[in-house]
Amino acid sequence: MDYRIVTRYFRSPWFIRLALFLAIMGPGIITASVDNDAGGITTYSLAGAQFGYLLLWTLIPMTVALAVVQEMGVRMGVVSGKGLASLIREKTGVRLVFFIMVLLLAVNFGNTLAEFSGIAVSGSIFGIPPYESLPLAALFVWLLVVRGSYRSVEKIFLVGSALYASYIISGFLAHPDWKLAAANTFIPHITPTAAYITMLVALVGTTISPWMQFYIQASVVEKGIPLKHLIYSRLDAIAGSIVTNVVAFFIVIACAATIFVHGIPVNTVADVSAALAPLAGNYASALFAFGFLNASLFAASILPLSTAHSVCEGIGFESGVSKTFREAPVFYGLYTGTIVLAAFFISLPNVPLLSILYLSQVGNGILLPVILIYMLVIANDKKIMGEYVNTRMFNYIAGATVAIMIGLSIALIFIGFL
Amino acid sequence: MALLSLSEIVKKPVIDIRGEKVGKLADVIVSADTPYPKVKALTVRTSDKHTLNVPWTQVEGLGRQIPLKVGRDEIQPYDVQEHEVHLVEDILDKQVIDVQGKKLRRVNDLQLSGTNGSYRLIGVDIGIRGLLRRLGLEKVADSSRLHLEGNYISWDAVDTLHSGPSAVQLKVPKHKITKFHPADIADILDQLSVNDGLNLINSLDEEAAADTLEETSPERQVSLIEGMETERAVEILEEMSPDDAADLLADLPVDRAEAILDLMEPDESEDIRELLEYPEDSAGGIMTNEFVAVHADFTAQQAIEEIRNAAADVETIYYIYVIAKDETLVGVISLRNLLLARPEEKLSAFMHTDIITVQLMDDQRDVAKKIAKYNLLALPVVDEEKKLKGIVTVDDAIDIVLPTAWKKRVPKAFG
Repeated sequence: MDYRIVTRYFRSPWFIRLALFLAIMGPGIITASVDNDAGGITTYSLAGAQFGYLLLWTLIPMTVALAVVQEMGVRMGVVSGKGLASLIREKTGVRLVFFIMVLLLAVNFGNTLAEFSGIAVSGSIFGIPPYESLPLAALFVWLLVVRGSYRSVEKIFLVGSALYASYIISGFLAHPDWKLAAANTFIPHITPTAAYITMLVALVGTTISPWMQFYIQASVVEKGIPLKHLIYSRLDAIAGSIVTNVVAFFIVIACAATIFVHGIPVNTVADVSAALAPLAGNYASALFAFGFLNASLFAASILPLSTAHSVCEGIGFESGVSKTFREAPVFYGLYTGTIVLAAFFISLPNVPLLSILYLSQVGNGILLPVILIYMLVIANDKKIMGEYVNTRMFNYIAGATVAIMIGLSIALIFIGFL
Repeated sequence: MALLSLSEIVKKPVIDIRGEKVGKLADVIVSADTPYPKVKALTVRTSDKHTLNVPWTQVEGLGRQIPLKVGRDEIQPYDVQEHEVHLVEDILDKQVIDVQGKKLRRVNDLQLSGTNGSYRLIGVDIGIRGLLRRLGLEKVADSSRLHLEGNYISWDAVDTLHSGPSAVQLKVPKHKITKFHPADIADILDQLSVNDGLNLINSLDEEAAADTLEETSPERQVSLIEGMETERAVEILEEMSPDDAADLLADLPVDRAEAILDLMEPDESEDIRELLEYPEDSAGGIMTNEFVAVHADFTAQQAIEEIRNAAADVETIYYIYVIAKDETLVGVISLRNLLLARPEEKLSAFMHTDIITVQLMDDQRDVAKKIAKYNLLALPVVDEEKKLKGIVTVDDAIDIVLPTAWKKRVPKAFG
């Protein structure tokens, strides 16, 4: 049955609204999914494995913070029709944007390294050696974007987002203590130990990262969402934030109900997956590893692309995969270079991965406050946002979010030095 | 003649005739009515954080220091006119359209030229060199062995965009870009923000706007139509070919699509409504119902008359379709055969009767294959009763086989 004819039958307003929302949905959900990347999943599983249900309460304020920041990005994108890099450049000139872009490039390279190490790790769990999985993954990611068609890539991304459900299933398979989980979600338990605070900071740091702000805004700009559909984009941004944290919730409880309860020491996702097998069954273990592979691959395809796009947009080079290499050499160079170098570094023996990841976390910590502050400045600029500037109430919430994020980012950097 | 970069003078001290510092140069105001706009005033940010527009007549010259001809208290604040442009605020770091390269460019710096005591804006620096100069790294460019030439576009060959929240619809200047081929305008349109795109499309006449929209990506078409007044959308859609208009309307929210269809000329909207009944990737979905069809008992002379009358509204006149009284397709004649026939000859006498056709619900790729296999310029589409419903022209078939650039573009941040 033809879609067009179907839509003619269903004229009721709620149906139209739902159809519209589904059409506009995407940027928020996809960005939020990518947010649960290799680093995110590692952090959530370690939080569950080491602290049980104790840290679950952080998910609610983190959902709010993520929703606030993403909503602002989406609104700026829809109202101005421009990416974040463009807006910052037009607002403050080329110097600051250049500084931000250099940092973004470095930080995102670190993040991409993490994604490729996630691919290597999850490949090993399934018995694929890194020297096979890494080049294959790099080639897959590169071809997907450079040679893929609009429709096929969109489908693959949607499937990728849906595959995060594997974490929800493994959460159920772990038979968690639901009552305890619910209690810990709604009632904060704060233990002032160094380990606890470090984990708290890491959790927050992995939830809101600088590149996501560029990515989500670029997404709505690219989709060309008209102003009158702003409401659906906002819903999408908020829905995405909730979905991310629901997935995080299940990762935490899966590890809390098994690894934490039995007191097994774990340090990596490979440990977590191995520990899950005897405790929650092979399915849960395999699903966990598979989810990790999916998340790493997913983020590895979007991160380098988003980086190349933002840098070219900010500095003023041609960008986009619809251009040829000759037309957009900087774009392709950055994109291809990031993937190839990241895959190469990870396949080297004895890479100081932890130091690299720590440095990129520090970079994130420096960059995030700068970007959040400029987002606030731009979102309050009447010349850019017209009547869609932040309301005073929203500014209080966003201001508090930004202040907390900045405090935690600084804390993260200091904890690293201790 | 003195050449200056805007970045060399911005933030430089402004000194009055007594040698006292008035403030720093914040912006340069030019008139926008000439090909190379003249500097009319300077915006100075005073030491006590006020801004002051100093008329050019009171300025001595431009350079590392900007001396005034008068004392600080004799400055007569300049009244900025509506059409005047602030170089730093409106142009620097913004995107402009490079009319020659037919591309969007980011402005790294601006070039001013001084003669006889007045300065004009002559060019836009879009090169790496301008970028390095802004970053304070121009010496790197000089000392490196890389040959970093400045990359300038003459101001004359630049179109500016007027951005702003879409609530504020600025008066649209005559864009030079409006003289481009629609496919080139569409390329630029796809890269603009929705608001800039709307300004651009609103500066085109209906026919050019329709041609441009047809070449634009479907997502962008939807946002543009959604963003414009319904009346304007109706005018543009009426100019589009029915198959493209139907595809676009199918992507719009139903209530909006209905509102537009209701306002269109009845015969235009009927064609589109008919096409809307078929799936997008079927023969019915890609066909157009604007074609030449004549009755079998017409003479060649009458058929030529018919073509003459219909030519303005149909997609192709190279094939003439011959139909029976009940609209079933009985024959096809090429324009060439028609012209070579004797004027009084009946069409039924020389028409081809072994006609290659496709069914309404056939897959579009099969349609393209048939067009390629039989080397056709157009292929008729019939229903189960062999009634002629429309034709698919070769250009639409090429679009199926060789999608335009946007069709291979990946979603979001990938553009």
